[in-house]
Amino acid sequence: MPRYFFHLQGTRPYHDDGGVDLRDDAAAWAEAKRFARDIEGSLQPGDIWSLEVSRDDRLIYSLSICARAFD
Amino acid sequence: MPVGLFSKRVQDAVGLSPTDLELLKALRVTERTLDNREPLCRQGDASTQCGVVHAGFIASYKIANDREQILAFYVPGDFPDLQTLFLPVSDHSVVSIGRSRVGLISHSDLKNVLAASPNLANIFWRETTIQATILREWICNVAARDALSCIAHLLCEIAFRMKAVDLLTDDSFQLPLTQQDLANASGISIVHVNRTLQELRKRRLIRWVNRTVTLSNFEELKRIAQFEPDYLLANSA
Repeated sequence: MPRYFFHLQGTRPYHDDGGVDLRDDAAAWAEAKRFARDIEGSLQPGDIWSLEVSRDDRLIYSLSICARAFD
Repeated sequence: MPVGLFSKRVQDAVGLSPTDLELLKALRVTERTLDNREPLCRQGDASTQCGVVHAGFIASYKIANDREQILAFYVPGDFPDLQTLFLPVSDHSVVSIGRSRVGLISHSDLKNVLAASPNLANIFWRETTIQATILREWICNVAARDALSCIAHLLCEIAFRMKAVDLLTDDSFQLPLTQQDLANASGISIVHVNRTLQELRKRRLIRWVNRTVTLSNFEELKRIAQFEPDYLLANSA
């Protein structure tokens, strides 16, 4: 199984050193959505983050969230 | 004794009369060893027997939306598939995590014992109540607790259940779960399970080396988990 890495850039960066072995890119996308939901709980207005998913060294998906407050 | 750890836990919690203890001791039990991930029962099976865990670790699960959702963990002294007694066909699967040993008791023998002793019938009813109270906590884990308190809650719960059967030593216990299993039990992504365990380690609340988990600061872990052990109906709380 290929190994996927899930790195976070932005307000609270996280570098995924170990990675996760997953069946294919579709499984990695499902995992990315779930991970995005997990970290959404700590989202604050003003936060900007993006989740970058790579298969080994190759970037295959990114998912960005930008939270703004206007008042 | 074939159902020794079960009897011990029940004896400590609510007591057992000598007659009931004899009835349990006299149950015919077939020993079976399960390898890692070997099923004890599969969804769709018509079971004719129940297993009691002698050693190791068992999980039940269902597949929903292509994902394995772990529904419960079982430790020595537990009856993982007790509910098959009333299910013509099992609605979920039960599998060994790591190698385990179980004792199999036929449904008809178990039903005879429950008919012979109203007190034992109550005790097995109580057992399914404990399984239900645990499930309620797990619904809170999956739907309401944040990742840190959810994982902390799972670890506190397993530690307390191990303690009730003397398998907790200096706040350490054997845990053959993978991070994927924790993800499947909590509904948290495996990446976030990994980050959460790192956070628990960084705060010096747990150590997890090979298959041994040590709760380095049990009191603080309980506080983070908002863990109240009353729902386990054990006397060791």
